[in-house]
Amino acid sequence: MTEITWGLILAAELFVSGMAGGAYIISALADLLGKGKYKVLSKSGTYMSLIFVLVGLVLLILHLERFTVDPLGVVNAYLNVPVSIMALGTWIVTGFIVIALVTSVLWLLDGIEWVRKTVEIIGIVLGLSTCAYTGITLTLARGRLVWGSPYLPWLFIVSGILSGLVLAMFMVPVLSWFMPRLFSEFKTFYDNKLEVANLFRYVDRYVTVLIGLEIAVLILYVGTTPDSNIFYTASGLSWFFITYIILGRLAPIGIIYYENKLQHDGKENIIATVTLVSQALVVFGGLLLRYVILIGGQLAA
Amino acid sequence: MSKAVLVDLRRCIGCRACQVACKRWNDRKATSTHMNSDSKYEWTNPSDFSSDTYTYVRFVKTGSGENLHWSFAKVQCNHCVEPHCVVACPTTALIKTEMGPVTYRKELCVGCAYCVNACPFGVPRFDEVHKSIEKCTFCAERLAEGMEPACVQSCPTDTLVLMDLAEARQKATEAEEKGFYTYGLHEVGGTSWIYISDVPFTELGFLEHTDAAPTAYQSDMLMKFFGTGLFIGGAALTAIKFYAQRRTEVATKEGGE
Repeated sequence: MTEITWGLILAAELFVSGMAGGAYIISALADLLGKGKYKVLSKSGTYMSLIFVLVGLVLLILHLERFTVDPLGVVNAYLNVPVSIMALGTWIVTGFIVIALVTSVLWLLDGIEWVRKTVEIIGIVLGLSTCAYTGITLTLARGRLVWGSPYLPWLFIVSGILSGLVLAMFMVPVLSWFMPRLFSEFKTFYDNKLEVANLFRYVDRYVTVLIGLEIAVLILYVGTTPDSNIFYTASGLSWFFITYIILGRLAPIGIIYYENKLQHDGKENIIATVTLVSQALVVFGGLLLRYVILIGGQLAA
Repeated sequence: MSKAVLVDLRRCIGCRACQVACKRWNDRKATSTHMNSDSKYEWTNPSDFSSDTYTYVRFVKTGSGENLHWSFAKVQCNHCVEPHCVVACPTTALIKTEMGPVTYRKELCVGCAYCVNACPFGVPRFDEVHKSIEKCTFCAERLAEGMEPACVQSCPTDTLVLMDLAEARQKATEAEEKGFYTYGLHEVGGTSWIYISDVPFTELGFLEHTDAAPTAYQSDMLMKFFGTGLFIGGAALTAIKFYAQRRTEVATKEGGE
């Protein structure tokens, strides 16, 4: 049975939801543990987590084509005790949207710090659950044996945190370019090339560690799951897998290595631009990973 | 009392009356079909379930030449005693009724297709027109009126017999003790359609499922998830510890220089 019912839209939904959860976790941790040093990263991550979890919600509604027949049908997912992981996920994402919204408002209003930090602690749990549920949903789908691995949710968690970290950083200059008035603090920060280069280098270390961890969990997942060779043997799909590995994971590590050379040569002013390219590749790789696993799981059955 | 259908494949002649009866009772339209691309099953037509095909008869060739043997196997939703699709459904659109059928309420379906991916037998199919799932309902509305399912009523050889679940399990157990093959007694915690055959079910294209019902499967998978979390988290913390240690060493060294 190789009926493909879950395609690119759902892959994108799983990806952006996980990335939103990851961005929130990173921004909250940076605020809670960073002693005020990473305020820009925390703000950017929080705003992006809210925007992207809402994007995920829109993608989910688009995926549920039933929307065209019964626009309010999706409400049914809220009306029962959540026995299904998918219903539980709906509640988790809803809770996460509320927390991300509250945290964003508290940042925008420069609200009371202890209130924000308390909300962030709850948000970390919900963010982690948002990352995890996307993987657990697949793992518990008994009809697709390729997804039936306890490593898959961890792969999505690590990948979500990696993409979230990169997104939080990537959006600092993007927001300052497109909305310089609203995000004047970001613009001030981004104009200071030395400070930006320092922060990017700092973040890059964690990006490298997370890429390493993601590859390690991927090896564990692929190595212990029956029929997982579908990812690199299925015609068409294998190219996505190879692109994910080379362009989405190895190239960013290469670029990070190149950045260190640039720093050594004193070319601080172009580090930020190069880093943005590697960050875009990491995000692209995260989407490809979800797509390959989603389609591969359905082809293998 | 929970009902079951005992499917005795030793009696099946492959007439496909059940296929036709199912289409007629459920008002499913005829669709363009093709022969199966796998030579072992080439006369199986249609070759798979669809939103308009709730059941079909698998034609299976085993052996060759003078030893060529034909086996026929009607397949449909097995109406698991503890169904994966019901546990997966986020809106309780799918339900397991007391009489045995696993049915669905289209008005509650959100079209997520999670049941399609959750069913271990690959039965539910997505209806692209109505944006909901379709599958065999065990003719629940006929059962409620004391009637047999359409396919059972149409079977000319009594391959399909409606009876109580306990009785069907008893008969299948007796057949198993006599050396025949059974399917549905143990698979995924037991099903309401129970098969008896003189040919191994793997030969007939049935999936091997020796694992437990969904609650046991899911709790086992979640336990493993948390267990591997300790392993992955431990590895990550060790890596961070070494990284921090290395940074301190480098900083101390640079400070010394």
